[in-house]
Amino acid sequence: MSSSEEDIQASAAVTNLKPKSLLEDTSHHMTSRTVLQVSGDLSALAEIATGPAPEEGKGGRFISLLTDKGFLDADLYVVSYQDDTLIDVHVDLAEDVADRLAGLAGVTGVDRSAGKRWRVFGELPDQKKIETQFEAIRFGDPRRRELGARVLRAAAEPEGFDWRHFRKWDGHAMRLGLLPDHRCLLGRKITPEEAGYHRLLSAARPTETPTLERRILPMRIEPSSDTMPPMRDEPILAAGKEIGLVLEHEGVCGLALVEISAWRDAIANAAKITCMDEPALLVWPTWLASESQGNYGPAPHLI
Amino acid sequence: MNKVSKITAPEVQFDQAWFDQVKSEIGVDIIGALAIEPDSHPDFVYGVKTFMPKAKAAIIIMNEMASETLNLVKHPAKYMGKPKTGEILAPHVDLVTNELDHANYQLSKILKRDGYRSIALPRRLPLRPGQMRVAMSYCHIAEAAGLGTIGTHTLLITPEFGTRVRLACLLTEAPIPTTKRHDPTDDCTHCLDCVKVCPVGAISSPGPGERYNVDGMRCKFYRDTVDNCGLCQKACSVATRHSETATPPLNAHADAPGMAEFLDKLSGNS
Repeated sequence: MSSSEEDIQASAAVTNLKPKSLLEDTSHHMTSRTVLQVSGDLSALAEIATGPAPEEGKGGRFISLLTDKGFLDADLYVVSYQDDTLIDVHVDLAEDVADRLAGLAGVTGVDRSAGKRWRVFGELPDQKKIETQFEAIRFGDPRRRELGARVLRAAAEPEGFDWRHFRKWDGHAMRLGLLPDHRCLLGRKITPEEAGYHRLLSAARPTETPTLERRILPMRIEPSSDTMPPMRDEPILAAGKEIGLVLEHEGVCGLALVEISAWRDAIANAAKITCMDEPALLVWPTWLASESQGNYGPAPHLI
Repeated sequence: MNKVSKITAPEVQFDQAWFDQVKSEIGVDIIGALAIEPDSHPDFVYGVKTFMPKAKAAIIIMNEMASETLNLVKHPAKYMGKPKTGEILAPHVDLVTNELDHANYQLSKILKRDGYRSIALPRRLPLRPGQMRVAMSYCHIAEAAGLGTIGTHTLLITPEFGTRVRLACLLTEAPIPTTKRHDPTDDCTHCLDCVKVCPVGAISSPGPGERYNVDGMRCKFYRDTVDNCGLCQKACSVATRHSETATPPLNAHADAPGMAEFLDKLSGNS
């Protein structure tokens, strides 16, 4: 056990915040995520990401690092912790992100071993808040309230038997039309607007409704049998014409990169929308619907 | 006499004008149709074959339930010595459904007048043999007809009234095309408020591979016990901003063109 883990256990034992709840601890353990602890001034982060780091005591913030050309790269949950900042990042990208952060002006250090002291959890909105006697940082998901809360819990805490797999959380994010993590972006050039970043809770609202040629939208597959093939990276077709691409899916729910005008044409022409010969339904998520056509009130039902 | 002659009947164009005219004639709030095609969903085809094998379309009509009544529904623990205001929901549902049944019958008469055999289905259909499933789901037909989305609670959420609707269905031999929704929106916000509010835990958050996860037996037994529940319906109305006692309706789209004036009008500023 490292000295830092001993420190946390010791501090938890001393503080003994609240009695352990009798409720089932069914939080989603995000085993695909780890934590970096950054010390120093992170104001330069805004230059390479979709937004700045949060102010101290102002909860967490969701931002994405951008490539040189302004496309989405790595998604991060950022929260201030004591005098430092904790960054929740995908395990595969941790080293790369740590290198980029270490190169920022003002950053004095990046602790890459923070993942050994913290575990990342996602609590969906229907789950009761878990009280723990160990140290924990909990903040409402900075993207949409429908995503619930993000919790960093001390790794010193004993593992729960009822912790759920993170893929269920991923599925919920995709139902909402939100990227579960960077794996949907691999090898693709997607702008923050295409992923709806301008409509996230922490984002400043645009003054005008952006007109985009393509967007990331939730999709639902309606399989004709009990099984369905993996559809990742498969094209979505309407009357033989490609109108989009499946980015990721968890069961029948997924995310698709959709060519908006081609999709509208398909609807107007009553073309069946399919993916791998299975019927697929593409929709605007409720929170993005104000950017669709004709959804400010009752939807027009066109013959 | 139930004799229908297509020879003498005038040719009817089943377009938007026809829907609008019928809607005002029978006095319903929402109307839509789903054509029966060779590749229609097997469950839909099963229902059609059960009741009217030669039908070419199903028409769904809906009426709004009063927000004022639904908002009186409370969690059982919150009554505590107060009148059980939620008990007026059941008579209200009966009233709205009776009106809808009447409108459905009127619609079948209109279609027969135009020369098409039609059957106005009752509010409750028989179950499939050995299953806890009705022969045909009105909500699923309505969703396929572009009238709304089935939410986590398995109720239909319409863009107009949220979950505050009652549905009726009619099968007809008239060649009515499917009504389509332009720029379809997922009307379910996936807030999971219905999961939280269910007093018997009948609604669960859907897992991978599921659209919804509802224990129908648990829900039905509880509803029978309290003579209608309506808590998930109420919670959803508030969450999707279709409850008139919540913040102004459609506030989610406050930046939409013309919405500022509309909200001003609602609040009496203009």
